[in-house]
Amino acid sequence: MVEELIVSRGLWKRFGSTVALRDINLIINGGLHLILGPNGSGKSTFLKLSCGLIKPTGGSIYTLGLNPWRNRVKIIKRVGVAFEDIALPDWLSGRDFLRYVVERRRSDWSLMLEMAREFGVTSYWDKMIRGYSSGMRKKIILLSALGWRPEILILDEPYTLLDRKSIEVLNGILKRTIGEIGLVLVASHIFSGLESYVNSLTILFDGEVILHGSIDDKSLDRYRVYICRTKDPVTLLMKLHESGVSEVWLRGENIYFRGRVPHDIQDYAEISTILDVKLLYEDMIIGARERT
Amino acid sequence: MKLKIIDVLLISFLLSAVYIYWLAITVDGSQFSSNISGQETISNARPPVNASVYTGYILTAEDDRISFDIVYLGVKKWYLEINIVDLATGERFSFSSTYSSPRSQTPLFITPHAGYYYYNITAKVLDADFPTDLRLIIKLSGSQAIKLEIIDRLPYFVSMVFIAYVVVKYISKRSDAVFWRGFLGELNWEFKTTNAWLFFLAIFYLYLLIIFDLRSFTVGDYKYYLLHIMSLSKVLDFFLIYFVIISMLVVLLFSYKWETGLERTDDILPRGRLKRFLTKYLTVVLTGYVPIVVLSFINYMLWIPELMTRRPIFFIDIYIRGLLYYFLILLLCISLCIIQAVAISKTSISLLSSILPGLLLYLESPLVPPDLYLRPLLFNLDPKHEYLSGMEGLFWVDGWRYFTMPEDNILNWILLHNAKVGMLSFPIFIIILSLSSTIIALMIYLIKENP
Repeated sequence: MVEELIVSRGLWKRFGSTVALRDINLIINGGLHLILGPNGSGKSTFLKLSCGLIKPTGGSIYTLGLNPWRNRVKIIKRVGVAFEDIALPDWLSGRDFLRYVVERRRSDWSLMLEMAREFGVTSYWDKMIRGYSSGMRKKIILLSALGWRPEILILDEPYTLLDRKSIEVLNGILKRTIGEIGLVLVASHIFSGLESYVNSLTILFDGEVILHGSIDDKSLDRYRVYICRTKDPVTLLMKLHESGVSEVWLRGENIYFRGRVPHDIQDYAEISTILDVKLLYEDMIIGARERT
Repeated sequence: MKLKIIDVLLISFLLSAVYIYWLAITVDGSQFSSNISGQETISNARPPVNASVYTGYILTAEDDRISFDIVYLGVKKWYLEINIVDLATGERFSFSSTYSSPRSQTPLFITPHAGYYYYNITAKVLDADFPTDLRLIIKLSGSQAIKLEIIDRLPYFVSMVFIAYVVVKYISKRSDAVFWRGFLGELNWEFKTTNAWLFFLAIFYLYLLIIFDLRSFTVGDYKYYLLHIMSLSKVLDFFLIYFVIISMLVVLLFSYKWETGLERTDDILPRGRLKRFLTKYLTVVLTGYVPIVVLSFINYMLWIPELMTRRPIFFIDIYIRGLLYYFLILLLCISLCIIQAVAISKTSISLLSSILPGLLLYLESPLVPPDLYLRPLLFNLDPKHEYLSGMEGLFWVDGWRYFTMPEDNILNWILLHNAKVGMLSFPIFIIILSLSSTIIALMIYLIKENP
């Protein structure tokens, strides 16, 4: 039986009047799981909820069977986290920062040292962090999450700011890690070199789950979500029904549906976005290849 | 060349040694006198007239010259006896004489070595045209010499600083992990991520330049006058700057770290918020308190080491009272700013809202009820001031009174202090304020989200 490592039920998160996540129902099992979505879709918010940095506005989320908001320290003891916007103390050396991380996690310094050497960090880590480039900082942040043996690894945009060699190193480490630990959860715009390792995928858009499941080229081919608005919802629903569309759902003022688009839809509705999952997935990988 | 914190601390201690040396030299020739002149009048006195006894303390150094100017008006013949006891060694110096004129020959006491001395002056009427008006006037004054003993001890102080420096350097060279382990590591993190050690230095220099003193003094019957060797008039200036420094540090540790995202870095490491809060609080206490403890200890160590070693209980009693006074002030400073610093995540707003209310209370704004004016409350909290304002200067008792001063205990001082806010003694008010503000701040800190 596959363990349910992260489970969310009817999860909502609001920041003031902004809804960051709405009614998220997810079960994330082991292996490598990707969370995709455009900027502002709620990827980072979901990850922060999963490790207890923020409190859900509604619904529930469990990581390793625990409520993260109430058990943040217990969860963090078992989860390695690297967010994109982690701040590093400018007046400390990278080595001192990682030493502090290792001591707090009561882990083995030699493992950290080994990974730091792989990333080529040891050549500069005795200098103050304030003098580091953004790529150098990124490697230190990644090491703070990778340089021990977590049960779950949560990486938010791990590839941004890294050069090609560092991406290869990261992928090498992740390939080794995927087999050793329960779950590697990656939220990213770009992703390359580990396509064959991906077990499952979640696509978020505007705080909604558009797709959640395993990666299968055929299902991705067919997976295209239309988001539209209308002043005449009755006509739209009738026309969608006539076209054979069976999946329609309403979120706020938006109507989402999957299936064949009626040819005269522009007469009674305005399609604002077409989410082509296959395209999105390929963009991410191709984009990553082009960048490197 | 890159200086480490320990190097900067070494330089600071060496500079403080130079400053102390300068102070020890510049006091040469300067005068000092008793804050209180003893004066006693008995109208229409009839026999028998008891002996008048005037007691007090002198903190002095080798070769200081202390003169006792005593006039007894209305007598034909009188007896004068002066006894001086070194409180550390028990060494006793006596002088006695009988006079037939009102003014005594002024005895001069040349201090044989630095120390804290107890003096006892007895004047007894032997003959007078009774009934008569008697008037006894006593004034002590002195002239200071270069503090040679302090200068002689400075090399020991410098050596100790160097030894401590070498030990820390050696430990850090052997393993840099030592300073990141356990609770020491957590403190190190707070100190370095906010540069709290700079605030440590700021308070170190503030205390050294404003409070630290090497001037001899003499005072009436109040042994706790020694409890902080400092000029009373400068204390209030010190506390104003002290409050601003402490507020800035509290804002840095809470608001600034939140705003810059360093709190999030902490949140993704297995450190509970309760523990982090207490570590931050302790960081403020250590930063604000250790420089005062260290420098006041150095002051005593250089000046009256015999008192520390030969009468440790007497010394500790005095020292703890001084430290308690500073500790209450520190608690008050933290209480006035911690809630704002924790609740407001924007440093600029937090800084203003943390410092301004304290300053308004201190500078006595009309917006604030006079009961809460900090300046008079702090002034009244000072045990020195409490003593000086309540002292009459002359004691009419029978017989000798060696070491028989009223021994108020610290608990009484806290509970029944003269300075009050409403019905509460000011120390109790500070303790309640500190506890309640800390608990409120902690609650806010625990439930704060970190997006």
